[in-house]
Amino acid sequence: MRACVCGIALLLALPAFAQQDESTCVTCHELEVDESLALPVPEWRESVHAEHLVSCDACHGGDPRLEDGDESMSEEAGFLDNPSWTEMADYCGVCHEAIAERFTAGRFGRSILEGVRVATCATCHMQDGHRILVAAPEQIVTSDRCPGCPGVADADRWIELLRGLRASHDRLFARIAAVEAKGVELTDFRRRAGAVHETLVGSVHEFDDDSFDAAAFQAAREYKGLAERVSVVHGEADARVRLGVGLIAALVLLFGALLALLRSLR
Amino acid sequence: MLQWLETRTGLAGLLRRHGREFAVPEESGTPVSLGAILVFVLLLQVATGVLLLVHFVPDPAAAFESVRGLMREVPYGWLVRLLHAHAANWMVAVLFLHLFRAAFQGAYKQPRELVWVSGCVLFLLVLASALTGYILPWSQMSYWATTVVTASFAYVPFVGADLVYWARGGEFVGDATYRRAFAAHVGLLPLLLLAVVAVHLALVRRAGLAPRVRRRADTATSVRVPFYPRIALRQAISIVGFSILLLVSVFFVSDLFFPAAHGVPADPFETPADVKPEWYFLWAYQLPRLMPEGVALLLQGVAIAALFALPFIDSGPDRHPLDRPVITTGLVLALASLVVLSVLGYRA
Repeated sequence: MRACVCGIALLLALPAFAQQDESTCVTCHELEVDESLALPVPEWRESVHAEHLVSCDACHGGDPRLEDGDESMSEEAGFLDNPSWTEMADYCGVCHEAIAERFTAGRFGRSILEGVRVATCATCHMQDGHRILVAAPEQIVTSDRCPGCPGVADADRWIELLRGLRASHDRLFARIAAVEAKGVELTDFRRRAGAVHETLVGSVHEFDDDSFDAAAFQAAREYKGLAERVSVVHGEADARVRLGVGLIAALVLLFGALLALLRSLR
Repeated sequence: MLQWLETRTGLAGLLRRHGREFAVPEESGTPVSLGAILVFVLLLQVATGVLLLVHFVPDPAAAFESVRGLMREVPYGWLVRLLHAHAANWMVAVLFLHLFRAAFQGAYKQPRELVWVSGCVLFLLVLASALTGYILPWSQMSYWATTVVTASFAYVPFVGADLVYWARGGEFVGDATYRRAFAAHVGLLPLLLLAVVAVHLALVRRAGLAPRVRRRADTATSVRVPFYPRIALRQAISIVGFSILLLVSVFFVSDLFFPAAHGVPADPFETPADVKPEWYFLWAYQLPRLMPEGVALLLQGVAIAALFALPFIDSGPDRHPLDRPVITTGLVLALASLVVLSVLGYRA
């Protein structure tokens, strides 16, 4: 079932990458009198989805290339309306595969399989309607909303841990940038730090205290190890600059001396 | 001791014949001795290349990590590698300048036709060395730029597909391509380069350095001076000046010739966002995008043939650019086309 939904959603998503906001969805909904039908358009325009050219039909189906609104939202055109709460992770997982897998394998995903209605992607990520933005987990996990979620016993503790790790992450990237500014390429450090962050974000989507604690501990250790290695490279980069200045100064002196010698030969 | 060495080697006599007794026009070697710089860079490339070979692992599975090890763990490995990579790019740039300066000054005129032809052969060999060296770190950019460049061989009529297959050693860029590039880069091409440089210098020695360019009406003759010490000193100054430029780029603009995808290991399943060949191949990369591929290939073939045949096309006695307006216009157009195509290729 899941594979089938993913396949259909992927096929539906493909035209979205070619057909952007000139689609029938946008041109019709923009003119809707009913605000609940018109508002998604300006919201979507500000979203990360619009930025990455992912249009309405990627989630809602239909064929935005058909000029007639009814035809484009017909069953034949593959219109799906809003994804149901049981299938939402599969829809979002067409693009956000790794996160959707962690969600499905986690506490909420298992609850959904058992038919228990819990929060899904839209619950947390569509708090501003279709204005879906890239947000750090600590911006989404809130102490007033999340305590109701099973698996998150103490939302404040999650927020504190996430903020601490975010600070470590930002400090690490600032150090990497400082070293790279001195001409030392650290792409592998960037990728490693990025992978640590992705793993942590993945663990958040499992909504499980134990799993999150383990991931946070691991992330903290990895950030610390990477920061120590970057510090070593930083010291070496400074030594390189000193060596460069010395060598170039010596060559400039030699250049001047040779010029003087040439003049003396005339 | 010196007498003992002299009796057995004749070294002092050799130095005298090629130094104090080698009379050259006084203006030669000014303002910058590009030829001397190129010989220096070639020797630097051989020296740094041999040092790199001590730690570099020429295997696609290990090459990227071995380069990373060179940059991070081997003492001064970063310096050797950056010198090798930067000098390769500067060598191509200086070679372009040397070639165009010789062309504008008519330095290929009788009796220096073969000096020019051997220089053109060197030009192609240096480009081939640069291309085969680019693949060796096996980064994303190495892999995909090699894919783009080898794919362009398909434009050759009749044998294009076979040529691509032969260059890659298979359907796609892979282990076989890598082994071919390594063998060419550290074996065949350095040998050919050193041999052709020796021939080029021997021909220069025989025909002499080209005197200063004069207008047709100017009948003054060049004053000739011994090569050593003044001309040799000028060449040494050029080499030191170039070395300063090279060190500035190595130490302070070290990513000048490295796009971001250089820091990522080759992945045949993930095409980087911006795949382009090195800057000196951008003109050839862009040309087929502006016209039918066959026409572009024909133009490139004609341009290279014209380059080799230049001394035989422009065989008159005049050397000053203003005394041979047709050739000068052709050269200006060729230079402008190279620059414009390269800029278009870069921005494409």
